[in-house]
Amino acid sequence: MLYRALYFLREALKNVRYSKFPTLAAIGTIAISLVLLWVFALLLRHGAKLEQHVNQSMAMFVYLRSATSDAEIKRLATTVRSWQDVRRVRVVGLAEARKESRRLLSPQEAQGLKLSDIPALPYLEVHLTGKQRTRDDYDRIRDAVEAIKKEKAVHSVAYGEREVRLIQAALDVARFLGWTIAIIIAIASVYFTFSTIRLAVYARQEEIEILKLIGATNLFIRLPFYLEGFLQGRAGGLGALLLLKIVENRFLSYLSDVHRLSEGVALTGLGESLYVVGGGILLGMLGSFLSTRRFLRV
Amino acid sequence: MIRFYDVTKVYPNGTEALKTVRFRVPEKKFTFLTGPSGSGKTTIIKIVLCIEAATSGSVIVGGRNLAAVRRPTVPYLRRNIGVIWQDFKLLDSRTVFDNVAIALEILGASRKEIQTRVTAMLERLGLLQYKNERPLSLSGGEQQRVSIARALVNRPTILLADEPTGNLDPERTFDIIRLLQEVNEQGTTVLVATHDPMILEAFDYPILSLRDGEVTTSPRPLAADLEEEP
Repeated sequence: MLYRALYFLREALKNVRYSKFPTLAAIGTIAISLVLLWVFALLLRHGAKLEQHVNQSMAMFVYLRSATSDAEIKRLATTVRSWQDVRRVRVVGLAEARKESRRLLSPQEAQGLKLSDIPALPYLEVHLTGKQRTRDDYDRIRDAVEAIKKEKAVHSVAYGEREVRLIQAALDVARFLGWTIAIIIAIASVYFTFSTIRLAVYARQEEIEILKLIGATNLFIRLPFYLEGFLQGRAGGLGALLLLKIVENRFLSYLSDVHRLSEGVALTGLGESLYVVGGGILLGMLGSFLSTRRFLRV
Repeated sequence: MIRFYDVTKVYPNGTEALKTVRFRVPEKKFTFLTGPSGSGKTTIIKIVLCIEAATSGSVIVGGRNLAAVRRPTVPYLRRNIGVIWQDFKLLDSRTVFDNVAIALEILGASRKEIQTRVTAMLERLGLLQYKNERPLSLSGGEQQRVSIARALVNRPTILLADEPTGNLDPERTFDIIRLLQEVNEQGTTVLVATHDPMILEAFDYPILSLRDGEVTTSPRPLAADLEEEP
């Protein structure tokens, strides 16, 4: 068994010897595509975290007119609580709103100022649920806000819809561009492996013909080429891991030295490393599979 | 046994290589297949090896009807047929030993078995001293012996030779045919395609003669057991 495995490994390495430079190019492209895929995946993962954080801390302020009665405030609070995305509604009366405003003033500004002189409005502090929101969710919230704005007692409504939508749009663009670039580069890396193996197939055409004539099966002939793809992919994966380690070291020291951030963004733990190498193997094997399917008709 | 029954072969370009050919090569017999270039000798060998398929008629090799052989099983059929080519078809990137060993590698033989059987075969053919040489460093006759060693090492029941002496001088030619004679004496069916009259005169074996894709009158009366019963 081991002898047989070594035979196929020897043949695969022979293929590599036939086309050294294309092999290096294929390994390099696999490594670059994996690094880009990984970095994009990481950015998207952290972008999604940021979006979730914004969602969770998102609050809405429904300012009411100062003459609004307690009963009216209570009714509006009940209406707002009935909205789908509302987690909590805090009712802040006029007196409390003034106290809060005074707390924002400096001691000099607050000196000699009566509470009743401080301009403030009663309001409803609305906390939304922290779930991931879609554009439809935001549209629904906006419709509800527009509806409540029409109430006579409502002075104005403030919430960070625009900021959230901007973050969402930026993430959407990043997602689209990231995946597009990553997929193009992944296709290029598969193509490089495909071409390298095609060269090896052409270089060994006569040998393949002879093997066929003496009774070699399809698998026997193809296995060294699959193994070649596997080796290229694994080398590309390890190369990507090395690049990511370098990026990680530089990036983490940049975060801690320049931005004084101690919580780094881990690029390559053990699990992630296995994903990177596994991804390389997948790309390499895909290239070799497509190439043997196309050029090695046995 | 090899049996062709009303076999016709028309290539895609319209060339009719075989025209209702009917013959039988009995088991463990030595037979010459002769005829001028383009008479259909190589087509017969290609059909036996499943490189080409007969357009019509039936071909039986070792008891199997080739029309019923599915493509994935062709390699297993070929393993029972040793082939020797005029151009030797040796792998120049491998040593003599590895060229012979490859026939056993594809069978999944163990390292020990490969070592034993290849060494014995090289010794039998007088090639042991060249086992680490590359084929191109050997003479034509020696290269053909390596090719024979590869064809025989997995003990095939049938040995086909397509102009095996085409590239050799007369002395080497007779050496090779005598070697094939020995192989036949040990029980292997041997079919040798040649258009060399010297060989046909020197060795007294049945001759299957072809011309323009048809079996014709033989230079020597065809042995009765080569004729296909109607």
